[in-house]
Amino acid sequence: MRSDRADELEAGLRRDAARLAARYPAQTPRPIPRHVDRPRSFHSVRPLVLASATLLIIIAARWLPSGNESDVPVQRTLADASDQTIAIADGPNDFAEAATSLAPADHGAVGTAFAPADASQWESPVFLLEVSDPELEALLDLWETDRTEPTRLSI
Amino acid sequence: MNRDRLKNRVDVQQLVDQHLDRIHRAALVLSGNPWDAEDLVQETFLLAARKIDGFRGDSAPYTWLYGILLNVERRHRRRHGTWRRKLDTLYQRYDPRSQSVPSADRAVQVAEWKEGLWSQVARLPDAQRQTLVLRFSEGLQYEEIAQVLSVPLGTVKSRIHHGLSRLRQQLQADGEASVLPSEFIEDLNYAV
Repeated sequence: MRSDRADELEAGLRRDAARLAARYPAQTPRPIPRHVDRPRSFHSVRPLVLASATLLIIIAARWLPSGNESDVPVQRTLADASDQTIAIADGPNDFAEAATSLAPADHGAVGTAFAPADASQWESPVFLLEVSDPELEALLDLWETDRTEPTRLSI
Repeated sequence: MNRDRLKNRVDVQQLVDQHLDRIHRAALVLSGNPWDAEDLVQETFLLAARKIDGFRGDSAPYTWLYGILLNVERRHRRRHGTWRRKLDTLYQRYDPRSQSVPSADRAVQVAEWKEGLWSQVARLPDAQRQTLVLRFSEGLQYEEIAQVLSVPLGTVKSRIHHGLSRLRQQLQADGEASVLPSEFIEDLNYAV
């Protein structure tokens, strides 16, 4: 009896779906773009924006005091990323330190903006940037946004 | 125009030609009216056109399209629900007299859908609802449903079992007489 009722329900679902489809047949969709060009959204210019920002940051770093003035290098990693890591150092001389303190398992192919010499042994480069806190927040926001798609941030 | 772009033109058109009917049927069952269904179908194929380079062909194209459709529909549903809740709150707070007037944003559904079983399915949790659509409207195999939803096979079976159980409870609670298929209203009024 119970099985009969289940079958009846399943049959009813199939029948209702068929009725709807018969009553409202598919219309030819509005023209689908015949090429795969993306609209000029942020996603499409993202690599360009990031590359420009990185270049500006690196150039600006030459005008800032060197990392030697700071005893404790600032380094952050984005722990919630499963296989991607962003390491941040606050001075050119801290890059090497920040890089060596990261376990190889943490390395992620987020992109290569700056890779110190001792990073050559890594399987994938780590994304190192020299930024201030507001810039860091903006960068992480940017990256978080990007995580909605399984794409890698690349430069 | 390079060769890849030309290839994509063909592929996108093929996707539309081959799978329009089934994607439209699923969209219709999910949304309850042909207008929203058309929007869902359009958005699904637009997204497919943009993402076709990322489609590796590990699964059948229609399972890939179903995955896109379900994501699009879930987003629409969430957006619509949020907007409707805000409107309802505003009506209740600022103009009690308007409570008897339906919100302009209230979903319009066709009679066939409202009086059928799929309007009851629409009240189920997202996971069960989508699984039942793929199984009983689209006739997908369990393995295909698992692929579309990216869940284990056991989860698909469990969702179908619990979805049907809950659907049965809803029907009993609401008075099955008006919605059971055996007593489905034959003389349908197609007016919206």
